[in-house]
Amino acid sequence: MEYRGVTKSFGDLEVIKGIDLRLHAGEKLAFIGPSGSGKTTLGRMLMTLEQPTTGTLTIDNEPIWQMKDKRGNWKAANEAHLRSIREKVGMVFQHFNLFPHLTVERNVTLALTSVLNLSKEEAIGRAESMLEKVGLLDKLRNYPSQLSGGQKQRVAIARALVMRPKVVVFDEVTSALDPELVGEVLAVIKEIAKEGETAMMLITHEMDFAREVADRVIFGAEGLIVEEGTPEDIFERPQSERLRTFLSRL
Amino acid sequence: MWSWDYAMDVSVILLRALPAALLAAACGFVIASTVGLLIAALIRSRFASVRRVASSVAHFIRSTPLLVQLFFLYYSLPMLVPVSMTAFWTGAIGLGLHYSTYMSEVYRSGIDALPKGQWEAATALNLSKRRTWFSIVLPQAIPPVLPIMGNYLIVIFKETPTLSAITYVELLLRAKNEASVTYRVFEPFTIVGIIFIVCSLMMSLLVARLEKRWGRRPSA
Ligand SMILES: Nc1ncnc2c1ncn2[C@@H]1O[C@H](COP(=O)(O)OP(=O)(O)OP(=O)(O)O)[C@@H](O)[C@H]1O
Ligand SMILES: [Mg+2]
Repeated sequence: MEYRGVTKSFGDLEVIKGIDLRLHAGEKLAFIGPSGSGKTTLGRMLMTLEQPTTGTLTIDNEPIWQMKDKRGNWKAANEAHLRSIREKVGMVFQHFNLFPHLTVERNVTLALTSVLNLSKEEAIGRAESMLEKVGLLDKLRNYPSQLSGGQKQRVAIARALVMRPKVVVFDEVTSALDPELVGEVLAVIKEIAKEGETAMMLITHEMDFAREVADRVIFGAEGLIVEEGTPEDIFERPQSERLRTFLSRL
Repeated sequence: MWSWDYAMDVSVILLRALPAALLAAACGFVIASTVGLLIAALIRSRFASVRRVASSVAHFIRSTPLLVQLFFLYYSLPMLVPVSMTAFWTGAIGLGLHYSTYMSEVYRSGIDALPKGQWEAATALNLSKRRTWFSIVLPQAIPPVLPIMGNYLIVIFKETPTLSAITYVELLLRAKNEASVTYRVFEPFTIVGIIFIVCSLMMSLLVARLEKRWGRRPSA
């Protein structure tokens, strides 16, 4: 997955001012930075929820927002192309966005049966083993309103990962949670990160978590990447003044 | 002036016309609900041209009187295209189309109330547009607006006398026919009014029960 010269403006406001970034298969990338620096926007672009204003975003060397027509000329991506891209990407949201009218089980199986066309039995099997991983097998029949925030977010994680995407965007998945519930969600993500295959884009304010899980940390501010490196580089030997100030304020 | 005997007789005659009125209202309501949903979906289309056409058609239908639309459907349309519909179907379709534009607003309020995150989660899960509408959006958007839809059923029912203008024999036209035979105008029209009051009252009780059952639902 690659961002090449990506910018994004909302009206007159340029939120992303030119990002070049590569994410390798299975890599765990943590994205840190002050509020409003464009972290969420960057993740949403990968999930096809926002379209870059300029630049290209590719997955497996395939542009997200462009496709070739029959004669081999580039044109704007259509819905079918975007759907083929979305097969490879998943996202966990800050506010969970579970479907409140569906049970936990249905939340997790819905896309398995209707997008991946799995049989009901297969889907339930896969959902159950995923829910077991996040420790919520006993909540299958519950509705989201009956769960705590931490449990909801774990369901949301299961819902995204059960589709086996190549990369998952975690957008500040603990910042809407009560402090005592943060741990259980981070533990689940760490566990899944250990298994390897899925690449992760971890947008977070939890520095200890970033340090522990990430292969690489990116510090961004005001729509630009200021510094990137291994967790040790970023947290032990920050180069820029911006990053030093940012870390000291935590 | 008021004869109880005649009132009784004419009540029986008028009540026989009630099913016709109810049926027209019910069909009109079903059409309004279906077409209204279609309009609501088209107004949210990805394509600007579709959105524009849908909302101008809706606007156009809403800003012309029902009576004019009924006359057009019943008398003018058959001159343009070789279809002729019975007064009943013209009435049901006319009512349905007219109120579909109001119904689309009702759906829209339900759909707009849905948090943006629900659409985004559906996109993130790669659900198709159709699946998103039928499994995520409508099941959450419709229950809260069912009572308002119920109120439109009452409104449509109260509008059925308009169909008398295209010769559909519902309550009012039946009463008028009676009056023209017996030259008694007091009892028939009074009783039509009473029948409407009673029916509307019963329907609103039903709607109130709907509201109790569906009005409040658990949220995320
Ligand atoms: N849809 C939108 N329309 C207009 N402005 C937007 C929109 N989405 C985001 N922005 C603006 O873009 C800027 C960057 O937002 P973004 O959410 O990407 O930042 P962030 O780094 O995730 O911040 P935080 O840490 O607070 O979540 C903000 O100033 C925000 O107000
Ligand atoms: Mg954010």
